[in-house]
Amino acid sequence: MATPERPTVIKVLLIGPSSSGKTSLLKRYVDDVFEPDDTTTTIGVDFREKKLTINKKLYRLLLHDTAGQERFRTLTSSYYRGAHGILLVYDVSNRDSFLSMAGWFAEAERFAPEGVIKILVGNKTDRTAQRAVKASEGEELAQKYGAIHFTETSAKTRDHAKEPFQKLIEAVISTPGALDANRPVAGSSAVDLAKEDPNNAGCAC
Amino acid sequence: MNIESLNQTIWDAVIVGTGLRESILAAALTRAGKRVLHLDRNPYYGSEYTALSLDELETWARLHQADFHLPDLQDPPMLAKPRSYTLSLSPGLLYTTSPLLSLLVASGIHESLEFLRVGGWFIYRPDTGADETLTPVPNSREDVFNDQSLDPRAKRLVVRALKSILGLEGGSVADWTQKSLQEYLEQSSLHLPSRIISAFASLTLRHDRPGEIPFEEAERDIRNHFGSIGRFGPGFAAVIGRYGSGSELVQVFCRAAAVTGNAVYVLESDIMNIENNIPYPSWAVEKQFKHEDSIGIHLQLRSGDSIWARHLIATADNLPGGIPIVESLPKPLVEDRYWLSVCIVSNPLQNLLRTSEPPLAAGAVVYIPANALKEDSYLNTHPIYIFVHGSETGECPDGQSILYVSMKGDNKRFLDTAVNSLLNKVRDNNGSTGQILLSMKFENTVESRPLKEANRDSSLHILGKHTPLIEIPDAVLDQVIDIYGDIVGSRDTFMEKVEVEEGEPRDNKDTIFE
Repeated sequence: MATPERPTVIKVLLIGPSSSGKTSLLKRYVDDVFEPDDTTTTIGVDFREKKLTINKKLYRLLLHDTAGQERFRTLTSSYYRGAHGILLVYDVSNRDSFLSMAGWFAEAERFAPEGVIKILVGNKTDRTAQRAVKASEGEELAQKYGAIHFTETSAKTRDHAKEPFQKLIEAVISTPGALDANRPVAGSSAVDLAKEDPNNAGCAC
Repeated sequence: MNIESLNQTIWDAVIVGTGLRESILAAALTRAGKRVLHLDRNPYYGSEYTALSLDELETWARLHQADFHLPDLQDPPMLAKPRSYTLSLSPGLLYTTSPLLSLLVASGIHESLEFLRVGGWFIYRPDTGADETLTPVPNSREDVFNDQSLDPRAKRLVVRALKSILGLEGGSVADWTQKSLQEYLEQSSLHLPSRIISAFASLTLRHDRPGEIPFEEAERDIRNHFGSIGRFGPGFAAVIGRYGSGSELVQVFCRAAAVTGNAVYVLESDIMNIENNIPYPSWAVEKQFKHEDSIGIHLQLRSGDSIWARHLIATADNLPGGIPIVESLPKPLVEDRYWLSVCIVSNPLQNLLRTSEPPLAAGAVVYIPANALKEDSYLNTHPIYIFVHGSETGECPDGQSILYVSMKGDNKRFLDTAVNSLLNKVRDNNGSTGQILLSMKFENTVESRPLKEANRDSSLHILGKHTPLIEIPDAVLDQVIDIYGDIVGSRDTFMEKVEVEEGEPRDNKDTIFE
């Protein structure tokens, strides 16, 4: 009997300043959309998980949120390990939020694996009256720092809310090497701590 | 957690420094629902447990008066980009039986980490022509019997000593409580040669000479070593965390604390002043914080923030000097000085990483006994350990390895001598010995401080200075659980798994928006 296909893991991070709506976007995406093959579950509170079937292939999408460590710019370098894609999220109704993005691109450049795929997101488009950042500015910034895509969203109204995730996943899957290059995640050499050796006879003395 | 200013709350605990004990404690306290402000004066996580890239290491060396040496021989340059390196100040291994590993699994935190095998232990001895200079330490009775360098009688004696130490022999070892490991192994009925004594001593991971290691302690260490073999697979007793071992553990614990929503992390934040037993300000009383106490700790940060806390946890060297609370702390009982070095070498040292079954191990331990190396006509007075981390650790590019060298106070020049001696014995596939591409040497002390003995019931929890060496010791966890018990009132709940968070209801559109 054939063993069930093992899903390919895609690790996606959300980064950006406090109150840009990262968690709202994540929840909107995970709990709402994208032809989920299976129901969405949360493992602990460390990351959210979504199972996807794309072109008949199984993927396990792991979405990591900043857990408040973005507030004082104290994300750990281990947070970035093995990431395939990063969504950089700012708030279009907050100029400072946008101005901090150069720093977030620099941090991603410094800690994330080489070749990680980046998408820039201007969130909270529903706040039309308070808009403080033009879409063209976001576009420009995305180009300047090598983000492959820019989009404006509203987690509240669902306006384009799935798009950054979908674009990111598409790009990770279709870019040659993006899924495996430079990422020794869970290689065969790693020890599985959850699995004690049943043949363990202790010392052979 | 709601965005609130740091000084508008009474923190259950302020923890200063992000070393391993502090980070485990932060994770445990926040999981128990305590609110924690976790500070570090450095711009990076880890304190003495940190790992650094090449350029960060150079800065660290300058700030800590370490001896940073980049040999002027690289044409073409052999060092990769600075960020290709993760050079750890806490490269230590964990035995597979370590309670810390069990805790990681029980708490689910292990999923964010990767552990790799530490393969063999080796003894290096000067080339006398008679013996091999680099010999593996036997892992089992079979290994002893397969050892070509031992005659049949010696093999029997080694196995007898081993069985006796492991408690498998009927006889009693009771009379050895006051004696050293060396005395035990040299007793007339065993009379083992120094090479075998070195092999036993290497398993203790202690930096004392075999004649200085109390037999009882050695017995415990050696039992622990052999008891750890096979737990997660055949042939290895210990593991290291990928990307710097201790430094990665620290970061994962800090993130675990953050994801509870009960911790706030601030780096580059220093405490200027500490006052204890100060009445809480009126706003705190007005806000009706749920606590019976009305006095607590008041801290002044360099940023100007004024912080209130019920408990303060820190190592003394992370607190400001010159203030009464710090000056009145008990002085450390014992202080040992160590020389340590971090070396990048252009030799993958694969022969040391080979194990009975592929793939290659990620680490290996080399023990150089006292009096084995000569430097300016002096011999090394203490054993030297070289902890080899291969490129599988992610700490360096392929074709290189990182050597973490440690020894008790001595001439620091032995550190490089030790590395060069080893390189000369382990040629790579092209027959080349490789060379030191970079070395950083620094001195450190290990103190044993009574953990809050002098102020048993107070809210100040001062940790002894801890210097990570070859092993991440179990005692790290004991200290943390003690403090946790003091703060939470029970040790039973320590690091319980967090309840799985429910997803947002799908039709609840408005609450999704923050």
